[in-house]
Amino acid sequence: MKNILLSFALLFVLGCSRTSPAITEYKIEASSIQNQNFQKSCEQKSLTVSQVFVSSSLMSKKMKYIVGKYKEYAYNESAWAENPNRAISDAIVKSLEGTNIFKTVDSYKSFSRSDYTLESRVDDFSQHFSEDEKSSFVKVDISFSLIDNKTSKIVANKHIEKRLDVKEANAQSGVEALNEALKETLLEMSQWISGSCI
Amino acid sequence: MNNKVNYTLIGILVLFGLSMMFGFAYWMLKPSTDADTQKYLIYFNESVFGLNLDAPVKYRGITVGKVTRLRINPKNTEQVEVTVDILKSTPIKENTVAKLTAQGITGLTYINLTQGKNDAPPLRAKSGQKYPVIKTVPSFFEHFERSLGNVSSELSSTLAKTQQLLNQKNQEEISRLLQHSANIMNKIDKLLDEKTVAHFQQSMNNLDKITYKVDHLIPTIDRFILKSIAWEKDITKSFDSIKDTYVNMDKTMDNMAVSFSDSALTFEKMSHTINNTMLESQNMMIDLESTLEELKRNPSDILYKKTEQRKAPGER
Repeated sequence: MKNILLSFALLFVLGCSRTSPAITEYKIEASSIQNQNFQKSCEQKSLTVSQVFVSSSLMSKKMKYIVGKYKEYAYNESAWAENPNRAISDAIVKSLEGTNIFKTVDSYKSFSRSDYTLESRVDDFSQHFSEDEKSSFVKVDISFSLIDNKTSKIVANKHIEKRLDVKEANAQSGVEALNEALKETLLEMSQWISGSCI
Repeated sequence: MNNKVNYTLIGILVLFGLSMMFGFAYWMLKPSTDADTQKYLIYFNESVFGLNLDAPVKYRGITVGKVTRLRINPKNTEQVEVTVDILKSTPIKENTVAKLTAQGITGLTYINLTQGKNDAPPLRAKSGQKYPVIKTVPSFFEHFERSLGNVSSELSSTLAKTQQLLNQKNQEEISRLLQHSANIMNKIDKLLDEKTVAHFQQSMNNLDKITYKVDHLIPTIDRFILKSIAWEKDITKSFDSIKDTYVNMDKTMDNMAVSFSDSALTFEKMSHTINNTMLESQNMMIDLESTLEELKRNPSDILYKKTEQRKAPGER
């Protein structure tokens, strides 16, 4: 019995002796949108931003990339600091708060009742590589729906798709490009939503 | 017996008595002196039948003068000029009027003076007049005659209109109307035969019975009304009670509504919290699923990490 226990302990020690590569965590953060002329239709309204609907691959901190059309891999040494679905939701809240389009903007965690709810569906938020993995671009594809909470009906919707080339074919450049594409997407969304209130 | 009669004394006494009688008659019939009376003229536009010389002139029933002359007015033959002497003490004024008045059934007439307002000025002779002229008013007979004349003319007018109304055509119409009336009366007469009259009498009897019954019923109705009033009071109390109950129910419902609202709010918050928790759980489940998938693919990874790692672009 003693020998069996010693054998298991040895196995654990041998397992823990293996080293893993260092992982760099990246943040999703769209820089704030300011000094833009937005419409005033929503000035007296309140908005709740619901958590974005994403595919399961964006619900993990694993940073995935696509090679060619169909192959999907995950970076070994890079990861998201936060699940993309949460991070994108927070980015939407932050950008809308900075624009002052609405009287108040709350996240889905808030208990307050609002006039409108913004639902978002992220169809793509990833880095794409060519088959030879020498060139890369990022793609952001998000659909927005503005819902009137009194009637629970969609007041307006908008589909925005952005594609930006990546400077260098690596994770950091990909993250930078994704953040830039997200910023452009949120700017376009802000302009659309500012004129969508009834 | 020596019957010595002093005829001289008797003659003296008789003469004295006669003189006293004449003196008394003279005193009685002595005309007033000109110094005591005033002459007035009165012009009548009517007949002065029954008015004689020395006929009295009365002021409110008191003889104050007499008629001294009667004649046709030489300037207007339709008038009779009567000259009267009236005591100066009589208040003859501008508005004094003379009226011929019959003296009983004798046919004699006297002149009656009537005064108007007391503050009127005394009557004076105007320029061109020898004596003051007293105004006249028609006598009763004159007035009656005039009224009679008016009545006569009105009667004549009425008769003319009646004659006009009763022309041939209207007479025919009236005849027809009378004929119709007769027909209607005949029909009514037929209608009101003995049977109908009996029915009518029966109806009246029935009405009488109904009235009798109603008279007897009224006290019952009164009692019913009194009971109704009491019943109404009871009903009012009941309604008040129901109203109070409803008010209390309303308050209870309000409280329940508040409770339900609070519960709904609490439930909503709870639901919200559960929803957020479920979202977090979903993320965790996806991570767990991914990990389990990797372990399923290579169970030895749990200790030795034997799976070969593919180098991602940009990774060393």
